[in-house]
Amino acid sequence: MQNNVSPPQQQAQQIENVSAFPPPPQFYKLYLNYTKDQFKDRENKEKIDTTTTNNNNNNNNNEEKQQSQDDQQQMNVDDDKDKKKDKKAELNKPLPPPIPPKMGSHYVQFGQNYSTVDMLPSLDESGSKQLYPKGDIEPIAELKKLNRSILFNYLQLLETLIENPTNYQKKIDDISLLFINFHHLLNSYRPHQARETLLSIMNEQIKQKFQSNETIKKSLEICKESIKKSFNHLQVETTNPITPNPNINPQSTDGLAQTSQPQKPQQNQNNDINMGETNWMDQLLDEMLEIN
Amino acid sequence: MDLITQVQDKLDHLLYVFGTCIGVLQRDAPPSSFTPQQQPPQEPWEVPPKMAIQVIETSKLIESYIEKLPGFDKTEDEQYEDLRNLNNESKEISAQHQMSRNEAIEVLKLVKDSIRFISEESKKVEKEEEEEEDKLEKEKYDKITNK
Repeated sequence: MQNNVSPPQQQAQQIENVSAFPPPPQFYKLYLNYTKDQFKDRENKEKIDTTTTNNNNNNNNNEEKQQSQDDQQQMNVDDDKDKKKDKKAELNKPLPPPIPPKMGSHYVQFGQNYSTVDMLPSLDESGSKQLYPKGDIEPIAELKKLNRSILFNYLQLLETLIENPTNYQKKIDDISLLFINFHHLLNSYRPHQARETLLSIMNEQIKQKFQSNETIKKSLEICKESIKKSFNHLQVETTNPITPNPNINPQSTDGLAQTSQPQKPQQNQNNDINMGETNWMDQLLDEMLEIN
Repeated sequence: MDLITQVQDKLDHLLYVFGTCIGVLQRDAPPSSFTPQQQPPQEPWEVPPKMAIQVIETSKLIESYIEKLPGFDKTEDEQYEDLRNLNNESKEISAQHQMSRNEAIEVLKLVKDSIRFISEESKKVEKEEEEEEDKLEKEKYDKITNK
């Protein structure tokens, strides 16, 4: 297709394509490689300028090489260096972005006016007639009414097309207005829906937290039971030397028994389970420390 | 996708169906005579009833979506009240969750301490066993040497 288009047409098409989008901002050349190239160009120019001025100076002075003139030349070179530095800094410094529009004002984007305050403009503001009553309304009933009106108007449009096809425009405008009203009413309830979504998310989170809490509690109970059993088992081993644990020497259990601790903490432990789980664990820890 | 957007999409679809139906009628409708008496017998055209059904189905679907829209029976204040209550509930459950977590950490600590204790104890036992064996062997050796 494009090969058949003649060059001027192609150009026109390109121009159209370009004009469909806004031009890049003015400061885009300050970034990436643009800056380097620009700076190099400037630097080259500066070099040429300085060499020419130096040559001029030399020609003027010719063979009179006085100390004072040398000093002055040195000062000129210094000045040039300073200027270069300034220009480099100027080039490296990006332009400040445009000042954002003030609150409550409007701004233009892609050729359309937008307000800085995010709010749904009313139907009257956007140039359409509001078909549903203003103020507090029942949205569901109103939406149903609009939906039926759309169907009814469509039937009327079909009738008009059969009976008097030239008067189609009026009915189409009616249907268009109904659609605009429908969309507007739905959009006005978006914040409502957002709050409702937040409610459902919070409900879901609470449910998840509750479930994970229950799981932790159950696992804890199982752990405590097994720990209790293990301690009881140890207790039996320490108090009954007839069936010693093969890993534990009777002498060492005797040593533990001599401290007369194991029997007493076992009772405490049982009491603490009734009193509270945290106390039970504290007691066990104390017991462990005492044994150690 | 949220329900409001779904309703809006369906509404746009309804408009599309409207336009398509009229376009199809204009393109494919059989010619009709000016005098109804002279109209030749024709096979019934099956397309219009189908199109009518499509229009009505879409419209009914929109209506069912409208009924399902969430929270439209609540006022804004009621929603804020619900949010406040749920927030409090969430905080309570979080506190409970934290408590359970702390408890679990303590139990873990206890288990670790127990394992450490048991391992140290078993080391001691092994050492004592070794000493005992050495002693016995020494005694045996002494006995043999005395003999």
